[in-house]
Amino acid sequence: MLLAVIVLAGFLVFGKKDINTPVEQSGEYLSGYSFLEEDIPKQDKYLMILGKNMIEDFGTYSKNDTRSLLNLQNQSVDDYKPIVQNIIDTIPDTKDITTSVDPDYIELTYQDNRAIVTARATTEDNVTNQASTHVYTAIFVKQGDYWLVSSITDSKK
Amino acid sequence: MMRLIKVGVSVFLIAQILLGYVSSALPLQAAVTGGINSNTGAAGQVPEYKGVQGSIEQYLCTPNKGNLGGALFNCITKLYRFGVAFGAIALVFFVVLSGYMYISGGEAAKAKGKGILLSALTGMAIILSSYVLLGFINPDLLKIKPIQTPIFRAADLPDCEDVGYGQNCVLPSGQVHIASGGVAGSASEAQYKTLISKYAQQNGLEYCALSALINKESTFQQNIASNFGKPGGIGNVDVNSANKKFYNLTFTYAYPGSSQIGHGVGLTQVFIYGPPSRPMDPWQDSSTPSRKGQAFGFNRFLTVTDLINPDTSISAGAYYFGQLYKKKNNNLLEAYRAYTGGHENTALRKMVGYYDACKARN
Repeated sequence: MLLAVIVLAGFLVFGKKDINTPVEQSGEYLSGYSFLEEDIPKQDKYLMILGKNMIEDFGTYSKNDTRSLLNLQNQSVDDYKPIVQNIIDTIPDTKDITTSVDPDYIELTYQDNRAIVTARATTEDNVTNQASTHVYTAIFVKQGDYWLVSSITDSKK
Repeated sequence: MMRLIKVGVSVFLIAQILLGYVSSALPLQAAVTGGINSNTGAAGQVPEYKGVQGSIEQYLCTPNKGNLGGALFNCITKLYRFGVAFGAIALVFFVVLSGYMYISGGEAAKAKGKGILLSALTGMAIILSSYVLLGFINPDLLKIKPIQTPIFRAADLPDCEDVGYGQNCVLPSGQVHIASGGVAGSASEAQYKTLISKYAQQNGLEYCALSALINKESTFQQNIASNFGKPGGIGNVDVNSANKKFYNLTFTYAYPGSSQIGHGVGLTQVFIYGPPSRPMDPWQDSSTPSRKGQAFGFNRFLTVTDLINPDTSISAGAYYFGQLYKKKNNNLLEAYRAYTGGHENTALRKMVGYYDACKARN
């Protein structure tokens, strides 16, 4: 009986987490998008989710909140940053849009040293409550350690 | 009578072990996991233990996987914790046993059962009384300080002060810091990667969880403020005017649609002082000074100057987010939702997207 108590106490003690035990990175993606679960290279997954994020940032902003565009600018090549800055500087007072990409319509291709992400997205005008569908093309280039946005274009569908 | 004394002495010895452990474990845990610190206001910083503990602990305790050379006080903590667990289980066991003997036995068994019960309760009383007594005399007596062993160090690891917290390294105290990792996705993020790693680790968060939050809240810009100084808007912070307003109590909390002025500041957009205009902001209630900054791991109000400091901002935001994460039973999505106030679907979607991108590159 005493031995059982000791063993049980041992489990309670040594089963505790140590102070310096690192927080394990879970392998799960939060969004649950199907392309993140596919058996494809991790870089492809990264570029597809990055493309989604950048396209959504490109099409989500208002006069009062330009953080999405700032995030896009932070992850753009130098030549594209002024273009994003121009968007920021010329936002009308009444502009307020939100863009969300359809996760089932994201395609990735490589061309030379560029990665091209094509995605279908819906842009909602939060002022007029109207929505429109676009097909965006985001081009990425690798500079140093980072994949940076070279350009984002959209064609209204 | 003699038997009772013998049992009492045994329980007393166990109680000494229990006593030291119970109280020593608590401050240790609080200090290491980023609890509220003293006047430095530096919540979440590594505790400044003097001396070096290293491989000596390997000979005193069973090494644990993932913990390169546990500290001596960790070993003592484990020993005391074992004593607590053992004592508590033993107490329950003896109480049950004595009860059984009292109910089911004859007169002799009843007497024996009473004796066992009395002994067990006496031991517990000794535990509690000695804890209270030592705590009354000097709370520091209840804290276990590590022994200085300057000879021993964790082998083959660089000093954290030289390389930062982004990798496994040795702290000035000799503790081994295990980096929680994290590959930055941009130069903007890279400059704060060390701090993000450090405070994510200290608050039980994945690197990507904290990184995505900061990405959404500030796009890794430390001088940014939301709804600051004017209705709506987000822009760079004028520290002088901001602090003047702060102390003149002209700030109020703002929410979407409100015409009043809000004040999320810095990398994690922690909200600074405001009057108790809304029940969801008790941590910044000026009428309850004891609550100042506590939601963010500080025992003082946080000023704009504080929050545009990357270290303070990330420390405060990580602490608060870590608490939310625990409250939401480690549900990251719900914790994100709570951090945004629960009413911003776009913000939540952004965090999720940034989080997944971070996971995909790590």
